[in-house]
Amino acid sequence: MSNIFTDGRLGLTAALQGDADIDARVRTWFDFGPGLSRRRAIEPASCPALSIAPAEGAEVPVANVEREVPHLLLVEVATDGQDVAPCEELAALVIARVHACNDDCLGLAGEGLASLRPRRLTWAAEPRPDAARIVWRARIEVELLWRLVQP
Amino acid sequence: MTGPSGQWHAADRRHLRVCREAVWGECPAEPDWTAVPVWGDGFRLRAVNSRFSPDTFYGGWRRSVLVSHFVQVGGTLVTQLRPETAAFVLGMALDRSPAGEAGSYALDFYTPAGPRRYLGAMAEAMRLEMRAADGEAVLALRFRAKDERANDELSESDFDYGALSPVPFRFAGAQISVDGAAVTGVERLFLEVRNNLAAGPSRLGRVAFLLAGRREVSVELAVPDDGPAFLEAVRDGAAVSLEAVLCHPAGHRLTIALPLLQVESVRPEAAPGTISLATVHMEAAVGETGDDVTYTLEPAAP
Repeated sequence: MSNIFTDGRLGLTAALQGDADIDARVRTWFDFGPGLSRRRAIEPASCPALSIAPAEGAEVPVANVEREVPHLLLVEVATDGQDVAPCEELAALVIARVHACNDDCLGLAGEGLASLRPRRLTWAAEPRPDAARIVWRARIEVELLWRLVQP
Repeated sequence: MTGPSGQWHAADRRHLRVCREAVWGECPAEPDWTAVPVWGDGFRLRAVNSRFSPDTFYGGWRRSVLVSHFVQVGGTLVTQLRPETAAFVLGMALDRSPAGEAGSYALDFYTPAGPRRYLGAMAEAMRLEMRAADGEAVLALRFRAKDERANDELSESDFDYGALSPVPFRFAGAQISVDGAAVTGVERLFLEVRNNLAAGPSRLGRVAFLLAGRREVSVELAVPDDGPAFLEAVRDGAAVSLEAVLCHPAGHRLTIALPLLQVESVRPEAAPGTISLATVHMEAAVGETGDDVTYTLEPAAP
């Protein structure tokens, strides 16, 4: 059954995968779709990796027959090695792609998608006790703002 | 202690539909209704029966007599612009006949507690606020009307929002030219239109007539204070033109154009720690095209 949360997540996933620069850099996509189950552990060998997962939602009435649904997706980027620049580059590409998608709202305006915006970006280096190298992770919160009119 | 009446309700059970009247104060026999979502708590149209006490000291120091002037109806409606309703809603405030007459409208407002109909409503003023930060565009219309009546035939099923796009228009920026030089970076833009309605006296307890007067259009915009263009326009009377563009992600486009503006004042805003802004107040005149303000709706290609 179609719903805005799945449509929005899949739309953003397709938009990021459709970006040649991003797709060329990412070795492993964690898109949480159907198929064989696999561990989401980010191993240095699977980097650069990119994961897109639902993170948060809400519902705010804004008009008598309209409500706003801020839908937060967490896009995580992981790169192998102490050099943080590849992680920064990939995060910058993701943010630029999100801004570019704001113009046509992933083609989901008819369903009520009103805007896409990067909300927050954090970085963390993850030293692993059993690994020789660190993994840099960037967490990008992307807000999909839905506007729904009650039938 | 009594329980709830059964008419308690939340805002999602309040509905509005509007149709144009052919004759002032009369709902057409076959009305063409447009359902209009109400933004926030944005419907304040109401009847007011103001009273006065005769200045005769009749009854002593207490107000023993209160006389009604007559029932006057007015108030505001706040909504957003959608591809399907933008022309209709803007037209309520901006459209005039070749003779300069403004249109009148009938409004059905449903609440479980008091469904009612407003007749002979005319837009006294309009204020369109557009913000670059979040792209929000909110339209407020101030009406005066002939009458408010109970309309017990209304029900919630009379309001159909099915044809409406869920996403409203977003402010996508403005092209401003000061003496031919482009100004960029508008942060906020307010467009105000005042129709200067002349209201008649009481006739059978209601206003006898409403007539639209000379239209006044003004613009207030906030731009980063990065040049003297507007300051010089105040001093030298330079002509300004403005085109505000609202876009819809499905490809629709709404352009509001003011071909000739005169800058009245520039108010600086420079709170510590923030980028300085200039708030520019401008009044519109009629340009070479014969218009002071126009709107153009371009639907998306099919």
